[in-house]
Amino acid sequence: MEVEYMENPIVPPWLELPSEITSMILQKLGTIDILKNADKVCTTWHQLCQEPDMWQVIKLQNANTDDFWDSKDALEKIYHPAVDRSQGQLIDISIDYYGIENMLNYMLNYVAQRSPQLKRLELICSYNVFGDELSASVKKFPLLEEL
Amino acid sequence: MSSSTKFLTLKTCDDKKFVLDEAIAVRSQTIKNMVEDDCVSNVIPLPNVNSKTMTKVIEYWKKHSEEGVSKDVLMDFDKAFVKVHHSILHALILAANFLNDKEILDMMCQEVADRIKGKTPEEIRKEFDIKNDFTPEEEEEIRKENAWAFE
Repeated sequence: MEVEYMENPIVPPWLELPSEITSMILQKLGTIDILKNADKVCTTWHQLCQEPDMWQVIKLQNANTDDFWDSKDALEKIYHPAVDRSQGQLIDISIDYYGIENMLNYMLNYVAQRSPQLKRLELICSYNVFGDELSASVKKFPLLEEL
Repeated sequence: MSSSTKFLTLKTCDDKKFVLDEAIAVRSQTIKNMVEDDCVSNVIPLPNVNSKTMTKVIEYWKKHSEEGVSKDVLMDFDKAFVKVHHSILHALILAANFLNDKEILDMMCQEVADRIKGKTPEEIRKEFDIKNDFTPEEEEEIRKENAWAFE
């Protein structure tokens, strides 16, 4: 493998990839890497990161360090933009969340008000009992097929 | 393999010919469509793929078509397969896209994503040789949107 590194010192024109392929790559990054980093690399990537198509699937994972999700900042900087950018086209959201239940409920409400087409909601959380409030939130997704 | 094994000849853009079992070549949806539509003459031209890239693709196809090969072996093979220089990765993505092989395309895109993950915008630009083409005004706007990332 090392040999191949030596043979090809030239970096290929990554920005000339067809945009659907670049989108495919960016989608594999996960929500946090897209918003925090990829979005700011160049105008081409920035534009792709604004496309609602890009946000039909949102995966919020491994974001539990330092009570990350309990901060208002995280909600405003990552969660809200991710949901907003989907412009109602969100179909599938997974949230890996170990914070307080109120916060999760707030998050679900936020999605519920903006994502009429949501079909799949995955919650990985530290409590397995669904409170009344959570159940009420979940009922707001008319097309939900899988929970 | 039975005696009815059919072979196809693929010709890359640098005029190299590859003779390949049809059953393996149809891993490419593009080639499969051509075979099904009966528009395959003697040689299938692949104007967008060079021989070096095609060699890699065929190596992948053959490994993944082997009979009785275990999942672990394939996983190790795939792991080694994606560890290539950027230029080969790039060429393989374009080839997989042209050949319409979703498996290779997906695997290669995942590898690019893995090389992006966890890097700052500046580190990404360096790794992928991308110019920061934002105007100072645009950069300021993004900075405001996402102030935390610049902390």
